[in-house]
Amino acid sequence: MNDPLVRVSKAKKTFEGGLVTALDEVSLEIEAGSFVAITGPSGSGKTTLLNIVGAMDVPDSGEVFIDGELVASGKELDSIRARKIGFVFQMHNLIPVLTARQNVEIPMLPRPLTSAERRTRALQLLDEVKLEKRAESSVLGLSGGERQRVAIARALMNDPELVFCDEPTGNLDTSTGDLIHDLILELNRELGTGFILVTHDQGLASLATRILTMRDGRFEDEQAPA
Amino acid sequence: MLTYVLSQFMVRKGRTLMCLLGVAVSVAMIVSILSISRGMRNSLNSYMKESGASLVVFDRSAADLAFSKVTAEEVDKLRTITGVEEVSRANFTMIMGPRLGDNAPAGAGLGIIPVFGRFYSERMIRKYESKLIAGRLPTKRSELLIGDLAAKKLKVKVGDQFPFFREELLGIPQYEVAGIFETDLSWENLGVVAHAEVIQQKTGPDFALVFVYTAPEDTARVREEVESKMPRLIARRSSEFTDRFNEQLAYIDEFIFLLSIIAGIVGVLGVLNTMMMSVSERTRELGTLRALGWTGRRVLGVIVIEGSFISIAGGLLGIGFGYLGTELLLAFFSRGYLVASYLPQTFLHGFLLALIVGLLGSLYPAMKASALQPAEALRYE
Repeated sequence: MNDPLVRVSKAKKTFEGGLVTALDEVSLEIEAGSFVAITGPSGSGKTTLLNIVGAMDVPDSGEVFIDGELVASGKELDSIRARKIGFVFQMHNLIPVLTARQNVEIPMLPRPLTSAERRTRALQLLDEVKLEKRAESSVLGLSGGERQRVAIARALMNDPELVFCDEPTGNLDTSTGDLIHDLILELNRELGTGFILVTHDQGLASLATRILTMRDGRFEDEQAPA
Repeated sequence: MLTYVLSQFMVRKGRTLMCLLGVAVSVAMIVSILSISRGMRNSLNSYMKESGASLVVFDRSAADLAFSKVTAEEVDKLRTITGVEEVSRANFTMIMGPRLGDNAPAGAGLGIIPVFGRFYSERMIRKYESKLIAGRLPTKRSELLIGDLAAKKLKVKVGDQFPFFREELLGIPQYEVAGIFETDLSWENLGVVAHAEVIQQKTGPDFALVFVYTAPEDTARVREEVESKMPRLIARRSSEFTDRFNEQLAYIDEFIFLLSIIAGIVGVLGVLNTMMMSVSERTRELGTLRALGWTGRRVLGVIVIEGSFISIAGGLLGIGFGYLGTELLLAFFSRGYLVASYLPQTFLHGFLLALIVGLLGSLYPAMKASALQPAEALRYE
């Protein structure tokens, strides 16, 4: 059997000098290509877990392995994020003065590629998220749903093995949110890219192959999809 | 990458422009002062070189030529040195322009006029022969040679007689314009050449400097001999006059250096403030870039490039402003006394100042930005 893509072992993270425990010796394994939803009330530790599993932070104690690599220092975090991980944020976090295509190209700017190669890859991904016709539009002129689709294309730019989505539909109306659900599911199935979602949206969570519920820094429950 | 950097300027157009102008003004000030300083120095060198003299001899301890004194005895000693073919004595004063009586044209005779004292029988006066645009060289003590600009200012022409000094010197009430000259040096054109004995009535019997003529092969030896026989005096080749006159001109360089530092500090503070605000406003954006795989070093590089872009653009604009500002200053305010020399190294000085300002001003904000932890930056409100 292959090693899991992500293995978290007894990860603990506290804030405010140890007064607030955000993660309390959490262990978790995630297989490549899986679609995992993490739910739970506010303050339950979802985002802290996402930051640690997404190589944006390290636990105070415990170990995190991503694709077999032990994640321990800041330099390793940078490298792992650049090669293996994509992010989609609730507020899309696009750069407002750039076009959709230029935003999608941003993760690839540090790489030694020609601008033509970057452009081709970005247009291909915008095609995947059905925004090829808006590629040269400023993101300021896009709707909320379109902006989130640009953010998803941007997350896929470096061909990551895992995409972390923090409340990706939290700022969208129901019908636009449904379009994003369908898109994530389609990308997961067609590209084989793993998705880990932090969400309060039960509809989106129900699409996942695993649903993890957190409370007080621990997993409360694990459900198989309905 | 360039698109991203330039996009930041588009977001903050007003602030970027203000910062850029701040750097430009600092650079312009330095370019202007350096150009005028170099211009004055070069014009003094040209003046001495045009004398045709092999050596210029003056008072070693004088802080300025205006305070230099070479006595008649020292001039006599100079003449006895083997190899000295000829000497020309020179003195100098500055007077307020004369009032030319009730019949003088309106506005005539105003302002300060430099007066160069020469003996009309000595070789130095002959340099004006090729510069004459009207009349002839003066021969009598009551005759003057007037620069083109001074003639225009005084509204006089060849043959005119007028009381040049406000008092009678050597019993001469009226001076006649023998000739009008024009040289490349505006401050010389603003001047008047009078007989040295007339000027002695105002400055005393000593001379400010002595032009010494030798055969080229004798110049070095004569120079050594002058300085060994008369240690109070200094002898310099006329072409190297200001280069070797550093003791007296060093304060200008020190002044410019000090101004460069002040201008630099002002520029650094401007860039620092702009970039700090930019980094603070973009905390979430920088956190996003870090989350998307940008390293801290890349973020540092982007902020330094942004700061340097502003400074380089400000520097180039400042060089243009400095040139235009100097030309305007010379055209409207200097009254012909100032000259500027635009040397490539002056522009390079301005450009390097801007570059250093950009690097220093953006380094601290860049370090702060690169130290941002992505998770923390993304939480920033």
